Amino acid sequence: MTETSEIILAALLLIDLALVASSRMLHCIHLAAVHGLLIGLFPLAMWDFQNGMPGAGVLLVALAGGLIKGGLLPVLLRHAMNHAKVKRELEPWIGYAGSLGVVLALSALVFYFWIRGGAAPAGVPVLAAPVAFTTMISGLFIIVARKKALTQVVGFLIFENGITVFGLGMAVECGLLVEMGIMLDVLVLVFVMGIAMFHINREFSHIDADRLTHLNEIEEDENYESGESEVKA
Amino acid sequence: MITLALIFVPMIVALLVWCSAKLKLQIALVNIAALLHVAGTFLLWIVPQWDDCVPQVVRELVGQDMLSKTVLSVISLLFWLSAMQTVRYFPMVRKHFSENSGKFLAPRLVALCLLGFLSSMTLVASSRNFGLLWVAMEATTLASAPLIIFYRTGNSLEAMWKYVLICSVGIGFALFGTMLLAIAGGGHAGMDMQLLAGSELHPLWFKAAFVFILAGYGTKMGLAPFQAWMPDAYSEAPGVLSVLSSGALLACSFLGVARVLAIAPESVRTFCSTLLITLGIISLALAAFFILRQNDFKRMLAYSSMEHMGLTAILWGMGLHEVALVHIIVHALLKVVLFMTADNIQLAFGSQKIKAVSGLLGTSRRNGVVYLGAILALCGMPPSPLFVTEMLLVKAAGPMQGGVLLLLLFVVFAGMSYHAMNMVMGQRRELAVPAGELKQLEKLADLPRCVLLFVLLAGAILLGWLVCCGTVPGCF
Repeated sequence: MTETSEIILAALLLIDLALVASSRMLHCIHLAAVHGLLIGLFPLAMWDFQNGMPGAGVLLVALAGGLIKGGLLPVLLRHAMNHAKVKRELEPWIGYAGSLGVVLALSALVFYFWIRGGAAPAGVPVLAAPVAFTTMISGLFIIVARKKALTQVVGFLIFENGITVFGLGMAVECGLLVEMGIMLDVLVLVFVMGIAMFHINREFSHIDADRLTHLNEIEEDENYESGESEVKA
Repeated sequence: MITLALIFVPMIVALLVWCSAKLKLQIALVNIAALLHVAGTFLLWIVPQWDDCVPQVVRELVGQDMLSKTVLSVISLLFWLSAMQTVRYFPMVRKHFSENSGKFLAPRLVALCLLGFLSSMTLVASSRNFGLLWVAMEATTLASAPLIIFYRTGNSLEAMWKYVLICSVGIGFALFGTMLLAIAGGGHAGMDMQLLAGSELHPLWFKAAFVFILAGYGTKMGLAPFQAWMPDAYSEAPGVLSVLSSGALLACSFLGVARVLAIAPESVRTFCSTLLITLGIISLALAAFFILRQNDFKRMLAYSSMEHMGLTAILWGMGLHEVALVHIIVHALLKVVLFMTADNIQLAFGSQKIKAVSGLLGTSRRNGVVYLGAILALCGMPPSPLFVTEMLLVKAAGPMQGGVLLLLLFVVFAGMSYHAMNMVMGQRRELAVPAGELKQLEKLADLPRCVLLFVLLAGAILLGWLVCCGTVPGCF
């Protein structure tokens, strides 16, 4: 079933590019949901059905991956977005065309070095590692180049998906317990981040991560500090 | 069996805490969990064979060796000390806050998070599988994150956001590194530590794996240049969390790096050690710089943690493993003393700025003396055991590297003692609390005082040994 897995990998690559170029928050969350669903399908696509049906472990990983990353987390994020009354525009640090250019260039470099290096172990899809790297890079790019806390969470999800694609694509044997543990961690993490976002929105009436700059080494303006110490004292 | 009990007992107690409504009962339950944990860890040292009666499947996932038992002891001891401090601390903070209409996190949630933190740290220390180690490490981030917003302010929210985001992305790199490690093992060994140690590892893949894992766990450990979350989180979190995070969690993260380094193939071992030493020196240098121009005494302690993690990394990279372990233990104990007294000082003066505090000796004598003593001990003033470890480090590093290290250590000493002197000496400032509350704050310094005395006594014995025999047991 290598063809199916290659198609999924190509689709993941396209979604990465669409994500860095999208300007609306809701669109980003939808794209991340499709990304998650494809990640859920990926272990099944990698399975060689001529050798029989996949075991319970593979099915469980696929099902949990699809449900959590494609369903639960996007719903959570949408919920957080609806509660935070903010502008749905992303207001990026780097423009959409520029972002696309940067990620495309980095992805081209990854493909070039991976194919030239010839470090790929035998029997795994050729696209797996470069697509995984591109996905990780896109995730990191979204974290640093977008201002909203919510987009940072989406970026983290994409970054984590990239690592998962790498693990699945390179046939890394994690063991069921570890796979489930990783998924549970990601689930709780997004949950915690969602709650944090809710509180940030209530406290500051925005979720712009770039405006969270009160804690630094330089002396702050006295009003803010004294206001804070009054609350603490 | 003991290991499993150590992991699951805090979880069971957490369930009980969930069902209990009274603050006193919740604190008592946390203390019971702490005592059981200490007892379990003690049993691990004296009757290790009791730990073996588990099925093979479990033994492949969790188990104990010298390193894990040492880290586990640090976790256990620190949690016990923190739990004891909460007995006096929480009721006082509650009273203080209800009088000043400040907001703070519900005590039940704090207790739950503390127990979750203990359980996940225990799993980190005992895991025998790199994947499981990663899962547990991420769980420590999640369990400790809500504790940072104990004082419900905008600043603490900001600190928590940075902590969760930076640590998660950092740890994400460690997961990627762990996968590379499995590939380096050829795929047959999976992520099992013992199988990987026994198999022929591909040097190039291993190198890549180590770089990513060092970046990942290095973020959690606070090594420069990945330390951005640390000063914010430590300065905003309550002392109890800072103690656990600065002493126990950093030791856990360090364990992650040490585990990978232990299975390094001969051909890349020098590369890995050099990388570790380089990051250590950069951390030390950056920390020295930030300590010098610090204006916040809790942030100063955070940078000092970064400095000591740097020193530990250098010690480990040079192969002085026992010395590094002593360094970790003593640093953890001194951080117990310092974060607890820093919390008292912050409550007494209503600020954590250095310039807002002065004349501690005149107003809050016990806290002042303990704070100054611990700062000096942390800087390696004899008879602190850190004097011995740092001396052995400088001696082993040779004249060039040793000189640089000595210079950086001196800068740290100058910076920290200057700030501490400014706080302890000088003109008396008016306090933000009434006389009755100040008395309670003085009483809160009792536990840190005992810990400090114990550390100094241990240091005196260690130093005496060094002078009399010329060597330290287990080293050189």
